[in-house]
Amino acid sequence: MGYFLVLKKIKDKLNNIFILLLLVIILLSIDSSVYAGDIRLVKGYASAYAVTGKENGLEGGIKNPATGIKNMHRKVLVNLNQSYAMGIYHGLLGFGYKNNDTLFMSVLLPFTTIGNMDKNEVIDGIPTTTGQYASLNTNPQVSVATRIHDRILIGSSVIGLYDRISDAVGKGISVDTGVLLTGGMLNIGVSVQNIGYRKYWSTGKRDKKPVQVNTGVSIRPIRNLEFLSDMSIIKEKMIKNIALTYDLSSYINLTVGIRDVGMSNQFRAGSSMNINSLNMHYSYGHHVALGDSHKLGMTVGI
Amino acid sequence: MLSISNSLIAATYDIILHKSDSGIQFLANPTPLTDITILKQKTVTIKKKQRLNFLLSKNNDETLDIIRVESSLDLKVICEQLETLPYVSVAEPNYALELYQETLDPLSFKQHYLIEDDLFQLWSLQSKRDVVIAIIDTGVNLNHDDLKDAIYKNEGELINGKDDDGNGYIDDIAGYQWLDWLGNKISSYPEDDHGHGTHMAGIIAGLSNQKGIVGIHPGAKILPLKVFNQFGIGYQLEAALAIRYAVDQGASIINCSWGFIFKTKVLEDAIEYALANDVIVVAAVGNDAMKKVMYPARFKSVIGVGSIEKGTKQLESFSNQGYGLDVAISGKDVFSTSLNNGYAHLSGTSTSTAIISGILGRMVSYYPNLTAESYQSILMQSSPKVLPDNIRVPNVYALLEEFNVKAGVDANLAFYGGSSTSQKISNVMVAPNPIRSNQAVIYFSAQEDGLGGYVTFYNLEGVLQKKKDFITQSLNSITLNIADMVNGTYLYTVTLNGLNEVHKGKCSILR
Repeated sequence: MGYFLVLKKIKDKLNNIFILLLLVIILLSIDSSVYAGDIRLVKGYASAYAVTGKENGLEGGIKNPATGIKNMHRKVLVNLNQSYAMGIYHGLLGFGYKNNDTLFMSVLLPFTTIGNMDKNEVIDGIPTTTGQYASLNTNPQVSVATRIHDRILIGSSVIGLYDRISDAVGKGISVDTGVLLTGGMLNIGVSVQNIGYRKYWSTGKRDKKPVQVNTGVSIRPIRNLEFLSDMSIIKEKMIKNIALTYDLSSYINLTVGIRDVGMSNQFRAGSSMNINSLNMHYSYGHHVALGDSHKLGMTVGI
Repeated sequence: MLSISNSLIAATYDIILHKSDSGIQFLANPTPLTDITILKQKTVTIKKKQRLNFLLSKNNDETLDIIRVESSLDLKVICEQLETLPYVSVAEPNYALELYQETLDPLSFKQHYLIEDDLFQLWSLQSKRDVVIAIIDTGVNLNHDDLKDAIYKNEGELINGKDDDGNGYIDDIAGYQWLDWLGNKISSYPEDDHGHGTHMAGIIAGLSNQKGIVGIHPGAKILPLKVFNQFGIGYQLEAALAIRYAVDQGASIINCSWGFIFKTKVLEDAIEYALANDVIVVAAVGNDAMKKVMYPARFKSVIGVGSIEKGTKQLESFSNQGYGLDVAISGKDVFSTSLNNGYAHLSGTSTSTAIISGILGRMVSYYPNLTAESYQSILMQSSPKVLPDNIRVPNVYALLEEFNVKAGVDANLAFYGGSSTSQKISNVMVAPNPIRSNQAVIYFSAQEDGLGGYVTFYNLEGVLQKKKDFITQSLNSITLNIADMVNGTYLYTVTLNGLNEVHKGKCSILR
């Protein structure tokens, strides 16, 4: 009996800590300049992207096509992020569908628009602003995932690449693939992104990207608490993410994470709220050089 | 002279009469008019300055008549009728003028335009001689702490009720006022009772005296010429007289922060007189949001000035545009001197005009021996056209380059006598942008040499792509090799070590 009382006290303390953390996050968010960083993920953003090994719903398909299947059937996802300070807008629209118990499909449309960029020239040795331009980036992707074993999911995404910068256009295609091993308390995921990445520009330039390999784990020692960790390798560059998510109740989840990318470590935190088939997310991020970001998202069943 | 009026409602008009080739003035030989009653009449002597006049012993002065008439006829018909008279070559209305100001705001103590447009860097041009800038306006608050020592003094004149210097004006020791030539409202006391002229004077020549504000050319001598009353009402004949007076008193620049949609010959002649005597005339294009520039800005050799929004680089919504708009600069919420030794914000092409006059004043003071046309040419050459409105906007650094002068004025020292709280780095820019080569060049200017820092490039996910350290000079260009980066939009920063100063921006690679 005493053992359960101690556990309850610990849980109450954790609740208080997370409520305090949430208040700190909200306070930090007030009156801070907005930086629109990466990313269309909201829940994944809060967990510092450490989602390679986590069943993360529709958003997870952005990083590991095998993970984006949990509770996604007939779900519509909308993530939006405005940046008034820098004129950068991110969005993600998504829809998930389950054909049967083994085949899952999703369509995702992430996009980024950036306006009010100065067009500069060097005239007679003097840098001079001569106008403005805008850019649009969108990578629509179709993902398919299937369960090949009780504990093994595999998935692949075909991604269209489209960029418009000023008056130039770049188009191309890329493939992601991934696997997720599920095992009660422990999940392990591996994905490979940017396979065959080619983008052809109207200027004649052809862009290639090296493949990105992600490996990650998620551990849930108790029902309310989950630890996440993953690592991405792009050529010699390594990005590490760690995160902690805590289910305050069946309605509210809190997440904190750190994205370690060398000198530009990024702290992130967020909260999501479930009401029936509606899930709403808020995430806050802090980048040491670029500043703060705020994101809002919503997933709704239809 | 007297005439019959009809039963329609009569109105009064002031009309300027230019004499015919016969040389006989209308008022010297008045002719009866039909349906027009002359209420008042007066002659104006237009003095003409001739460089060789004293050798030729020839009097080139001209005379005009101005009459106030009452009539139920249309103004155009009145003028046409007057022009049929044998001693009148041109009859034109003495059009009212408009001051180009927007709303007056409560006091504040910030001169954003000096920073935003880098105008303080003009102080790198060391003043080499006094420059007289005539402000034809509502007068000037002559005892304002920030202006009183900048007021032009006519050394040839004493306050004794006589015209000591023989220029036709009595006791004009510090400017003059012409409010109503017909009504004899002229005076040697051009005190401002409106506020507009004082505001222009502060922008141009506010003293650097540890009080209030500082002007763009603090060493300028302001010649206050009042042609607008306390309600902002003024007329073209009076303005023309003021322009001629300014020229004769040796002004290098004439600031006209006003105008009107119609021109008169008398005003045009005065402008030509100024230009013929190598005087720069700067005028506002108007605040009517019209695609038409007002006179005198519309005259070919006058520098017509509009207002531009610094952020979007678009013309301010109130600024007129079209033929005659030569250059545009900040004109919104411009902070300067006001009545009763005070300060205020003012918006409008008026303020932009004063800023340009201040710039030109500084140029003339630094390099005194050029012609008016040359100064105008340098201003235009250093004002690249900026989209979306394709308007020329002065670039102070380009201007300094024209004079081979290195920018390097510390804004903090200039404004606050050395207390340094603001940023050390300014004008951060990637150029060219979009970047179309394998090298990105980040330009910026620094207030101090020898400061350590670094520039970085991030992708949109905030992942560092490039980093390079630097030590500041006054003008900096840092080159990064970006050959291994793909096309796309990136974020860059310029950071000073230990100073918590980070400048952010966006750029694109597009090869």
